[in-house]
Amino acid sequence: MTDSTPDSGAERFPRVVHGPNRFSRLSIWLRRAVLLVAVLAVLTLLLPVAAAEKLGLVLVCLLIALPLARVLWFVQRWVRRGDLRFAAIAAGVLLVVGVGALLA
Amino acid sequence: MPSILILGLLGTFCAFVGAIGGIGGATLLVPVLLICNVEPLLAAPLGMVAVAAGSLAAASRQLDDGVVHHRLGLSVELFASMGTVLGALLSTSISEQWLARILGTAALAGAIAAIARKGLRNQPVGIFDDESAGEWPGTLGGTYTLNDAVVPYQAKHVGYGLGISVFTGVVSGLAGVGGGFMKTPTMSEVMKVPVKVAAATSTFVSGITASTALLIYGIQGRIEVRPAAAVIAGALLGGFSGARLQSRLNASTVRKVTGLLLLVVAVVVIGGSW
Repeated sequence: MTDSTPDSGAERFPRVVHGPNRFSRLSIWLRRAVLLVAVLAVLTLLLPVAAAEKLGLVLVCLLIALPLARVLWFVQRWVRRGDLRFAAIAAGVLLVVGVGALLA
Repeated sequence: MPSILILGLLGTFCAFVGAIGGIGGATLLVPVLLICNVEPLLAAPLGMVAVAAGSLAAASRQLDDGVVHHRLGLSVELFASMGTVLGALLSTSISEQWLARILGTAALAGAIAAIARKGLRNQPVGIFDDESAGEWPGTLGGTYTLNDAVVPYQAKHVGYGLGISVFTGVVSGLAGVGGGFMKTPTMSEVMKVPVKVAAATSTFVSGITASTALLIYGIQGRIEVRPAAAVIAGALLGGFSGARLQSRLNASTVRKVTGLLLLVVAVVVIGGSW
């Protein structure tokens, strides 16, 4: 990737007048996710050890999955909007994470 | 390992101070855990848990404010993740002594970044009244809100920024810190992105870095779920309250105090590793 100039890509993707809440749906889901993670964390601390271990596993898996789900959300959004270069970059991030897991 | 209550309190305190000081929670938490005699191999996953929780807690507010540049963040993260994978895989084959030194050095870098950081790095070059703040499709540019005006910006020196990101990723994977204290200055100083956007974008990508490292730590069997849950609960609480209080305090002063605290921690951790 090379240095970008102020107008790079502007002719292909004209500047958009954004609505004030263009990520509102994602924002709502993230708020719900925070609440879920908080509840799971408290339950993991309060429940007996055996149940807490299982719930804690779900909690950690959720904490790992949420940022990746957010990236996946952007991949599909940018593919739908024709922003393929950045969709490929986002997909590349997921690929690196997957390769890392395989190597581990 | 400290008790669950102590871990929860540490998580709350470090996330609180980290949110106010803008350096992230793990930069402080991991060295403090080392001082509490937690092994580096277990402290690093707890640090990453705090990073992931902090990133999640901040996400919706930052999305609403339009300050996260996802395209820039994911471009940076593509290279940082490669470094994180490498660092996390290497972390089990490095002696605890060296791991402690790396963590101490990371704390030292965090201290320097916190003390040296100034308010507004990039002066606005123009004002657009016809749009709300956000990133521009297909580019590494966008607008952000400054003093009630919508100001444009464009990332520069992208190649250098991405190269440095690989290094920050390696440090993150080795040390169990999100690397926000390195990513924010990289985007702000090297790529000339406004600090407000750089900090928010850094918080977003630190969550992905944490996710990558946690996946590897989990496969390596290094995550203990109850201590992790205590840190998560504490980090969410501390992150929220710190972010609320941030606007009422003098951020510069708090950052400097945090930096001095980190400096002490770094000296203790590095000194203890010899």
